[in-house]
Amino acid sequence: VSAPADKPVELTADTIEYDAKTGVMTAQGAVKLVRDKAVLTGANARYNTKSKEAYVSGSVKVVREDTTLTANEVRSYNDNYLVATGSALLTKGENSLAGPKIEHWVDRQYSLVPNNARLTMPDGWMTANRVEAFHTEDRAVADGDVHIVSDKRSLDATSDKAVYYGSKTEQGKVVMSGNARAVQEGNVLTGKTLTIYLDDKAMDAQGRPKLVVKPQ
Amino acid sequence: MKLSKSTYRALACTLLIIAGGLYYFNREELPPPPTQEAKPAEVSAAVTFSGSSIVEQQDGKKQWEVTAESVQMNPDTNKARLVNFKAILYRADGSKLDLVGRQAEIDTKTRDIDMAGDIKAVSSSDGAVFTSATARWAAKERKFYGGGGITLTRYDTIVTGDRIEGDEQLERVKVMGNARVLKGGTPQ
Repeated sequence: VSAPADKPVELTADTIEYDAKTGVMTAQGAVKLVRDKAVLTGANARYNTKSKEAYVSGSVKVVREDTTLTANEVRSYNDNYLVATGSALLTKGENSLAGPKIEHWVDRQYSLVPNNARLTMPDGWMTANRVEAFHTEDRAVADGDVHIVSDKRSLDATSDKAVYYGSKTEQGKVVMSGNARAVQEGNVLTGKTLTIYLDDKAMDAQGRPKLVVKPQ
Repeated sequence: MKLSKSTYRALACTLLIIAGGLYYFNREELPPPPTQEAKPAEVSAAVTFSGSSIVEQQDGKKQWEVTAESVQMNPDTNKARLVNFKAILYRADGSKLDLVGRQAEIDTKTRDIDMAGDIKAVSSSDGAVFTSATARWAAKERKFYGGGGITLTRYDTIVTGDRIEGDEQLERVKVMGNARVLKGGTPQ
């Protein structure tokens, strides 16, 4: 799905400077930029109607269908690719992705948190150096210092990498690989790869698995 | 029947008396001759003329031209007050801005024009249409100001707001207060 060619654009604010020749609009105060199905609000904005580039700063919020993105600053390119920086938080359905910087592609429904990422899911939360989210598949891939905590399942697990499958496409599960270690109600399971089944509190381990059961 | 000389003389005297009387009774309606120094308390006599135009040229080039139903020139303030005016602003690039409105006041010293009442301006270069309740042309800056609610429409872009300031092309504008730019229709 490619971004729409020339959709209407509406910019409202306290003050707007507009150069008809360059197509650049600069707005200050209570800024609201509506384009296609996306609504961007913030304190200041600059939008180029020709290059379709937008820059919004100051408590920025972007709402598009069931996706909400908040940050200190958001840059939008061709109304499709958004880069949010400064306490960025992307919420979609029941999951939310946070980090100092989030990149989001509307057409691919894909988001990337290149560092200090945190994914919050109905089952708990996951942190990692880097997280990619594939929204339509309800799938997220975490890379580097992965740490998963689920109070609901009293689970605390770590690994080098992890892939989280939400319940939308398959049975909800998390596949952790590389020095995987999971602690659940005192029992410790380690292995090269651990698969944690979210719905029925089951786990399985491959690659020299080792289970240490806590005496009752 | 032949009239005698004395009768003729009587007739002539009578005519003279009638003419004198007519002059005496009518002389009140003629306007008093304008006095050279107007007393300070009195409003100075404004010279009013109708259906005329004022043109400003600079270095032999027309800058603007204004016609109006009536123009009242106030020699004290050097301002001309126009009613139901039409103005043409000749721009540096050869294009022009046609303006109409209900009132305008031209400062013949600064060449600034203050306008009010259903102001509408149409740009000949790109068909842009500007409307506002009040407007001002600042000659020295060659800038245009509008207030009291403005709209500026150019191709598929509509700009609205409380006040505006812009260059003479109305291309680079700043809208202040409830500013809104709509391009390509209303987003669904």
